[in-house]
Amino acid sequence: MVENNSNLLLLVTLAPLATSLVVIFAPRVTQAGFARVYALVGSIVTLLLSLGFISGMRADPAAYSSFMSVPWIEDWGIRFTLGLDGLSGMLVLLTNLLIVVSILASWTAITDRAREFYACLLVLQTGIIGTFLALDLFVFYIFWELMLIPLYLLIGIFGSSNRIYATMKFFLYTMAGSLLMLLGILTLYFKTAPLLDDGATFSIIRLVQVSSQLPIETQTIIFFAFAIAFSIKIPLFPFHTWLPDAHTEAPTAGSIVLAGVLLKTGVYGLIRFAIPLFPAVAEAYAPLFLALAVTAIIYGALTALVQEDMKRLVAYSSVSHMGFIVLGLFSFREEAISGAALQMLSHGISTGGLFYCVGLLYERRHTRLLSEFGGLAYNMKIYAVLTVIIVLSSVGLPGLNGFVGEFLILLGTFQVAPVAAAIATLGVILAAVYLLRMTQLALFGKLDREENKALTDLNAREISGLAALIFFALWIGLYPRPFLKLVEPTSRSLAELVEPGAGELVSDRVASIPANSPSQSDNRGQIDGAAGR
Amino acid sequence: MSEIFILCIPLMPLLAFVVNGLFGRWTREVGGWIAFGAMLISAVISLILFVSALLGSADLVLPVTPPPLWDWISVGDLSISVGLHFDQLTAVMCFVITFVGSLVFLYSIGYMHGDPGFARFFTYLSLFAFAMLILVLADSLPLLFVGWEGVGLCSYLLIGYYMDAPGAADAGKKAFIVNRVGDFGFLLAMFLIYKYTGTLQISEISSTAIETFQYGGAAITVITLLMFLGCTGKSAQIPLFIWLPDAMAGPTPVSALIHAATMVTAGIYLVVRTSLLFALAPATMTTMAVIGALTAFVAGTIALTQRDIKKVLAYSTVSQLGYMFLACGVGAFSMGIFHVMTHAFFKGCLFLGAGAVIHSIGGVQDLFQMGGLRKHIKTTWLTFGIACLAIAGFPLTAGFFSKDEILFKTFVDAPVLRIGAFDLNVNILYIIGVITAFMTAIYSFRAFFLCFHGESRLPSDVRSHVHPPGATMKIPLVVLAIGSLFIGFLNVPHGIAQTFGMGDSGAVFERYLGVVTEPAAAVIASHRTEHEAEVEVASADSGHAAAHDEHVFEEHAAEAPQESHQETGDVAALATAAAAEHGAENGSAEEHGSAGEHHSVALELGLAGFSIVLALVGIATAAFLFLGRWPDASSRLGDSPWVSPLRQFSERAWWWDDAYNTVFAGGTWMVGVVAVWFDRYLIDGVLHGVARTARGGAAIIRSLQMGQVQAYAMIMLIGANILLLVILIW
Repeated sequence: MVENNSNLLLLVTLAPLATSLVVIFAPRVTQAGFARVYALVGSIVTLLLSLGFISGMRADPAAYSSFMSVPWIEDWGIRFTLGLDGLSGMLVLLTNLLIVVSILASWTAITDRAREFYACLLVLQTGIIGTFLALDLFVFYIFWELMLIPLYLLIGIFGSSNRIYATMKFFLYTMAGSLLMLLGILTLYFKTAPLLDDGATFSIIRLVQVSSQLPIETQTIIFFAFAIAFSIKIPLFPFHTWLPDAHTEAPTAGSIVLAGVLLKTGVYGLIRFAIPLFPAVAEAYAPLFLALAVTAIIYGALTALVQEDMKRLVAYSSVSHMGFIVLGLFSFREEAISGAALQMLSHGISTGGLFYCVGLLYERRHTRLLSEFGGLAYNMKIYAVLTVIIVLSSVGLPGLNGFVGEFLILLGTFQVAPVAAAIATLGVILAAVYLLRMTQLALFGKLDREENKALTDLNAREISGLAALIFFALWIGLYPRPFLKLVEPTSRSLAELVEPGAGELVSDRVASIPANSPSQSDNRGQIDGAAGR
Repeated sequence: MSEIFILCIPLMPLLAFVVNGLFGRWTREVGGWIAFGAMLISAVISLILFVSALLGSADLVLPVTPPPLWDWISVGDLSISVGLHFDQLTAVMCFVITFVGSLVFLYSIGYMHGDPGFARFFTYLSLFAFAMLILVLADSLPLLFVGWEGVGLCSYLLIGYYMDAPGAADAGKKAFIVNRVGDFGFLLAMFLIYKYTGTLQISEISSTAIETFQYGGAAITVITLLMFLGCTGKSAQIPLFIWLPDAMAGPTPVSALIHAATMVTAGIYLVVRTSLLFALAPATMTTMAVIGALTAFVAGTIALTQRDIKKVLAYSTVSQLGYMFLACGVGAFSMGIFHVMTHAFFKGCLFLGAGAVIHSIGGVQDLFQMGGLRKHIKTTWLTFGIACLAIAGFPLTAGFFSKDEILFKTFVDAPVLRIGAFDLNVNILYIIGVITAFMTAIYSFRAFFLCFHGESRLPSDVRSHVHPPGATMKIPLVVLAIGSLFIGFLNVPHGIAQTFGMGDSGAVFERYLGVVTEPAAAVIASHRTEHEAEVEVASADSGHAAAHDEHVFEEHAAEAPQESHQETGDVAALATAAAAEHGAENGSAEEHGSAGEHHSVALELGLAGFSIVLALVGIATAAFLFLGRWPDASSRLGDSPWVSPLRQFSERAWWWDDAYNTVFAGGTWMVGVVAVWFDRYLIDGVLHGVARTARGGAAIIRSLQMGQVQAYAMIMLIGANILLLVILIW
């Protein structure tokens, strides 16, 4: 392996951690202190540093354009391996962008224990970046767990009234997943050891080469250990109930990061580890995941529909939207996987933006109940305009970001699982119902509450955060090509990996599984035939 | 050169949108003139292009396809670029959108004068114009969908423009959501088309359609039905028409432009744009004709009793849109578009006239609080009257030519309902169409008489200061009224043209648009002859053919030289043969399926005469009931025991809304509540149960606690080792 750009890789990963040290020792001058300034500067520097990856990513999104691997615990074959390709690079950039936005969103909202708050946020950032970059399962697990603690603190200390319940729920859910995953990782490690001539390893690059030689039962068990952990994180129905509580209680910044990038680590885990390691199992159980994804889409949308608390509403919309991503992934069609990957980015922007918008109101009114608002478009004109744009991007209006991903996901999925795609498309209708309901109740109607009449419109700081998100929403909506190019190799290889043939090896052993898994060969032939004409 | 002009058409309103959107705070009233100016430039370009296309100018070779602007979405085999396509159909649509659009913009400068949201209004309006132009200029279905959703968004924003008006926000949301239901169909249709043809480029779809799809096959039928579902949303047809009447909550110029002249015709545009696909699916064609006719009828009956002048016009729009789908459904695609054009003029004029009325009497919309306004606002009275004549189908007005031709085509080509018991073929669609035409005359003149004639019923505070509209509002009214009078002459039917010594100069528009609809017409024509041949064989065998069938067959037999092909049953061969024969026979682009010239001139004239009589009787009926000379005629009729239930049925709009609210809105909400319950008590309930069990277990474990860190560490170590052991052995 060629080691290139490795310094930058390490720098970007550890810069937030370093900043957090600076922040925690920041002088306490004003209420929020210097902490927020340091944090903002640090996060912007990290963002700028990560822009250095772009040229490498664009030149060859398939390769790990930035890569480093140093021995760590050699006896156990653990190497500190990080690598950045198109997909992970895109997600790292999203992370760094959203951290900047969330620091802007906390600027005046967090005044108590600001140093601890920003330090947590920055440690969280390192955890997320590391998770997206790790190519060694052991390292991955370390970073994965590293994400958990700061978020636990962010919700537990800085959250609203019912935060203890929410944190416990969040913690138990994810810990359960983590433990399963740890078992999976260890099993994989020991079971593959005999197959490797150069000794046991946690390196995903090596493991992928041999994992398919394992007995199918072992593969299935390890796959589900991973898949359940990731499904909890995504969260996929029925593992989603921690999300609304965590979101509702989390401070705005926590919600933005949680929805924007943390949930994506689950999907990323599926794309990077679970599916490439066990493509045959993934294909065999694809119908199960398609079914759960469709359920999540409809179920999330329906529950979002009747929420009175705006944050809960957006949280359930997240469940619905993440369902689309899982749907696209498990259709194993190139269009759909690309769409899912793009939707990871899109959802981060739209939902991050929605939580920001709700947070702005919460900071002003200390309530998130829809019934408390109405007619805000009269005295918060800029807020209303920006919120409507963010809402539309989440609804999937063509020309904005949400549409491209959803369209590709549904188009691709339809080719192999038309019924699932058709039901999922109903979710597009419902998205309009619940989001427009929220918009209407909050922004339109009569401005009849005295408390609301005094509300001030957004200031420059608040506008800049939302404007940055809207900029990307428009960019992805109108010209998604650069982003699609970044994820193209990943989606293509994934689609090819799970092509029929790879699955035949095990087809007789998993005969008990429903046989109506997507048969791609037929459709592919049809398309090719049509294109040939 | 023309490519640059074509790019300019959507670009101008986009510029106006950006300028007003970003600097609306400072542009204020000037913003309206900026938007109007931009629109006027687009209108001039569109007019020039449309006229040169109509005259077949050598400088303009259609279709013009500028090179794609950029690569939008491309993944794997899928490649969608942002590209425009300008042909005869686009030319008409661009002309209608920009011409009526700029008049409405001008009108709005006067109408919206002094409104606090002036800049916002023109921002939305410019964005709408841009999106609508993208819709008709797009060369691929996804790009068309961008425009499709874009106009829906603007509609949503503009319906809810008066934010604090009761129901405005609800109406906007309703429009958006109902349209989304339609979009669901449109999206699925796209997915299916991609599955079968591997492309979403409209021209490529059309060129591969005949080979890909079997005539009348399940795939094409499903695709077109789903597309038609999309159209019923956007163009307010049964079952999705319920949003349009509510949309009248928006400012009246918006109703004129978006909810009458342009956006709601997008569905017809889509059908004609993909007419070849529809032609391949006879079942969908029949469905479309039936839905169109039914919608025309239902909406017509509702329009008869509405009190709100804008509601009358809204239901009238739904009804007229029904005619357009009826036209498409019987294969007269170009007549559907022709009615789109004439309707844009007379309905635009009616709405703007209604706006002028409302504006002049301070916001009153109830017809029963108007009356006698003729004396105060003469221009509006005159233009409104002309538009009423046009929509009622008064001879030689625009509506007469377009609606009459649709009825004629329906009479000739509509599928007939066979009543076996009486051995009778009934063209039920034609009958519905004729009844609706009669109702059209009644409801439009009811509104006209109630508004402008008779005693003034205005509230006394309003009566004293009726202020007539200014020049910016009058000019559009006059221009549209002139259009309503004369634009119909673009397509004088053959029969009438010949009778009145115009020779072959008739049906200009039909021939003009024939280039676009020709492939579809060829498919329909070839299968129609094939079908009739079968009927003939069947009739000969059984020996008791219905007279009508034989008659029709004889007419067609003469012009069916491709009988030899029929035995092969090969769709492609048939279509090609039909197209070839068609080219050879006429040498010009004339719509084939209509078989215009072959039907006797007498029939055409007879039907036209019948329509004229109906229109006149309708107007007379309205005059009898509402002109005030017999003051209680209408109320006596309305309250009579036979009519009263019908009147209620009509007033409540057949209870469609109530039914939908209960079933869908209420149903969805209920399911949502159940889902939340499920979340809280079932999933979390299980979770809490687990937690409680764990806590119980913890009590036992607690007894093992020794309070020594070493002990814990030891236990942990043992535990980990056991775990490892298990893994290693297993």
